[in-house]
Amino acid sequence: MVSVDSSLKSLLGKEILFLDGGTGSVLQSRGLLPGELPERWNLSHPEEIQNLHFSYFSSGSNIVATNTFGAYISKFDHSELSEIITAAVANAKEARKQYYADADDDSETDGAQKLQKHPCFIAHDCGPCGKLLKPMGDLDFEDAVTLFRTSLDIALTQDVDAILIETMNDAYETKAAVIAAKEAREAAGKEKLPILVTNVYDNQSRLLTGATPEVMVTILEGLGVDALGLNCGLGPDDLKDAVSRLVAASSLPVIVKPNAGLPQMQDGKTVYLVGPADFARSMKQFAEEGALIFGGCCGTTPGHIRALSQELSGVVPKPLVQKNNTRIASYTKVENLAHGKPTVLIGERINPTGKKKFKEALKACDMAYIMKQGLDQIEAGATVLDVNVGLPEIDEKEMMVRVMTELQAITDVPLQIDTSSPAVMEAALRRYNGKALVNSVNGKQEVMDAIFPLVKKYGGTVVALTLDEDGIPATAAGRIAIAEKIMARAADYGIQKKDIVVDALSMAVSSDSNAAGATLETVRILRDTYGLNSVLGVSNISFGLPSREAVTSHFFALAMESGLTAAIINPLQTEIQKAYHAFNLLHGYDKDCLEYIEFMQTLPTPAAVIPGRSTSRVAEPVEAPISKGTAAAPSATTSPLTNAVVKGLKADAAAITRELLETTDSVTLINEHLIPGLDIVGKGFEKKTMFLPQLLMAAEAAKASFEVIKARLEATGTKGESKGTVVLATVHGDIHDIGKNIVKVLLENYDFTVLDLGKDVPARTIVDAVKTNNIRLVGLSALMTTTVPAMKETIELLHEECPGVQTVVGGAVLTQEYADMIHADFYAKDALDTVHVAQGIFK
Amino acid sequence: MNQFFNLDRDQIPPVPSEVARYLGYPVAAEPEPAVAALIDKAIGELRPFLQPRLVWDQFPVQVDEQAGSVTLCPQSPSETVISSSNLAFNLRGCSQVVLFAATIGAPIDAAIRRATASDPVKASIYQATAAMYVESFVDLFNAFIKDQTEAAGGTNPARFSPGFGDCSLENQKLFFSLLNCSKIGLTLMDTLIMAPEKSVTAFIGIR
Repeated sequence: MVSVDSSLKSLLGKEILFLDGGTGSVLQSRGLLPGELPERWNLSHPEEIQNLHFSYFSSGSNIVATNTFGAYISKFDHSELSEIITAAVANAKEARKQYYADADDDSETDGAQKLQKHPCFIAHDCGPCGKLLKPMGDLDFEDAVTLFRTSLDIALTQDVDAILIETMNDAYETKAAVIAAKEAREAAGKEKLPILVTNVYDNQSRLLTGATPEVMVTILEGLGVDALGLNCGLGPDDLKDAVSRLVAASSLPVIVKPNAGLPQMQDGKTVYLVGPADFARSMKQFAEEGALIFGGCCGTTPGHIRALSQELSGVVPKPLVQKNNTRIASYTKVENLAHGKPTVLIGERINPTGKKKFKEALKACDMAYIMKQGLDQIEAGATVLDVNVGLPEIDEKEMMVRVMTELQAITDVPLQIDTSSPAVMEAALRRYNGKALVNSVNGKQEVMDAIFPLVKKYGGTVVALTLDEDGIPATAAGRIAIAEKIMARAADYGIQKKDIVVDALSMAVSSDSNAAGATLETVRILRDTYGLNSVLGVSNISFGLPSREAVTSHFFALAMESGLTAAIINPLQTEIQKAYHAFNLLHGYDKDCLEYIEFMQTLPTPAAVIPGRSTSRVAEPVEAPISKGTAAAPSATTSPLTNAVVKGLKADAAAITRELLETTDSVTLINEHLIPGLDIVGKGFEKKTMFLPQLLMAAEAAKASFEVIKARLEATGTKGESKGTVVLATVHGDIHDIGKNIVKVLLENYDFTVLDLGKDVPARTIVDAVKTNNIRLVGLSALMTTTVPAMKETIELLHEECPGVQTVVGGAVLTQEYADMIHADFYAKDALDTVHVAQGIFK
Repeated sequence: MNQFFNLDRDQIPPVPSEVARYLGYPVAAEPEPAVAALIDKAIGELRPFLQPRLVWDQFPVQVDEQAGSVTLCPQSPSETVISSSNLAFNLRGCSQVVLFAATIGAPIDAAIRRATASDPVKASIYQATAAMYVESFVDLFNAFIKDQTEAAGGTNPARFSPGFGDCSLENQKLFFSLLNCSKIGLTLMDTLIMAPEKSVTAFIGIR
């Protein structure tokens, strides 16, 4: 029997506990009107709220959530918010007092009929904030943290026993709420207050924004919450898969709080079809599986909770099992680091070290280039991307957060945050949507003391470099000693061994012929003696040698054989890929040799290999053989290149360009072959005989041709000249960028340089870019009437601060009249029109 | 009380001709084979990302065509007046109105963003395909309401969304206060644009 005096913390994970059932659905049946905010009932109908809480306590609930699901500063002013939250806690406390009094009373009379008196706790309830976070919606992550924090700060002035973050549809919002809860807890001096978190899973066991149970377990364990699970969404029978997966993945107590099925209309009334007895029976199997905390959501009533607590009264709680998985996650995908499976490939290309083009892209804020580095590596098989943007000339913190969030908007692989600055690391880990790899700590006290607290607060799996104040030990024993030191210090911060991946340090074999041996031995000891994960920056081994890929790839194979669980590599290098696929094949990881064969088929045939690039996995698609004249020419006089552009044949356009460049100079090629093709399509588009996809396909074909020309010009040392630079942006508040992107493609086609500032861009950012780059033309896009004011504001600021600059505006709702009204210099009705405007200005 | 009309992704019928229309092709025009193939591909590629979710509710309504206003829940504490002649005309003769908010979810937006970063042609076709899917989903719901209404001997005017004619986008806020949109993961941004992007709110009158 659980003592009524037990603390919640002491019961979590040891006992079966009961939460309450539905609130909103019950209040509706008690007269809550459509559109009325249920939180106001704490003040207007306190007796109803107390009565509801009381019913739950007396039905067996150990934890009742306050009626504060949507109590946020976005709906109430601060004084009303404060009154509501204070009253909500008071209502729950009053109900608890009544229950204890009642239970004492009952136990003296006919106690046998009643449930035995049980400990009762009050959880401050946090529902979703009602907004989607960027990049999916418009709420900034920090604004979300502040929004949750405002309510939590009020709640924690009161005497609550836990924080319940519930009905969360999105991993990122969940993280914002948990960080707010941890910070509010710390500010209130209540660090031990349990944080319980539940998400809403659908019948595919995913959150609305895509997270799986494993993803949420990874993120929430990283953040250090006290219990996690699911609520709402579906009835218990439809949540079996999600519950099983939560229990299988989690080392924390799992919460199950389903609906009473889905609401149905019966005789003009809404009813929930799963009654108390069925509900309780379905829930019992979850207890047998290992879930520990139970309650109900929409449609469940005190009757359901009573049936539930009775049904489960005889069930012995299953002991919690600590899972020893090393996991990192994006907001939709988990990556496991473990022995006995293929090594995880971490792409190293997002890093300026030794890369001239990448450095230039960072300085110019060329996000498209950086994103392409990411996408190409994923395409080549990287399942994690390292992100390093350290360059003395730029603000590393700002750039790191920007690159990281933009990568997360378009990719779903977990990231490895790579920086030596604790401030940059903190900014990145805080805003990272998932649980990141933290690159890195080492054996230096100062570094560990800077990084470990960040990992404790935001979650993360740490790369531990085996070096310290005395440098890099030459022997495996020396490196292992440092790994042990790091683990011990991590443990002081409550970071477990499973969240550490040891970097055994691959060093240039050209300067020490024993370098490879020491590294490989370290990897082996880590696996065999400690069961620890290891990682290597593989290519360092071949530094200073000719034909580096031969050394790197063989070392890579040896390291995998020694137990390497993750490798930081360039996945675009063919030799690395060959080693990886051959190793997996030989090691029995590749059933029926399918992956090996599939990979080998992507390699170019020897004839198609581009001279000088034979060692790289081709970034461009392999060109299909071109049979001249097969595609019907638009007219007898057009060239095959013009024809390829008109037909939108990307590969053909590139191949023909390559051929033509043997005999034709680039200026002639552009003016007599490429531009005529674009003009044919442009005219067709204007006459509505050709349509958007054809326009874009032609643009892509022309782009492929331009790239060949550019590469040739660069190789011969003559740089192509841009016709002029245009700044493009979708204005502040608007996240629609398809129109702007089409304009960009076409402008680049016509040989303009585009500085693309992206979407939702504040006026100030645009003005700054114009000033720094001495810009003459700015293109602004807006989709909705509601964002046109932001466009007007931007134009005003531009005219005020950059007198020479002209503006061209476009977008679905814009007209010439609108453009005049907001004092734009030009209106472009479509992308091609913008090209005409640019041509006019840069004549 | 709010109702849900959540479907499985496989229940939404694809309509390739609508994708072509969103891409700017006139109704009679067939896209060229290369584009038609891309449309078919996009229809298949985007289906796994669909999360068709819809929340709806039905309210009494009073229509004053002369004044150009529509009153929801008249003579009750939840009474709300919407000024719009076009909506009043649309709801002429209706005594009840269905309000719904529908979305095909956030993952489809992410898929479009990915395409945007790598391939503009694919991105434009994805945009059009996603628009087709959300309309196709909403059409299914519309048919469901129509069946219900007709079974009871009534009729429905065409559905009508905020932003049509003189019906201000401000009215989006009404949908978000009357419908529990957070249950379907739908949010309203400060600009009154919805997120996820491929989402629809509308009135369907019952007369």
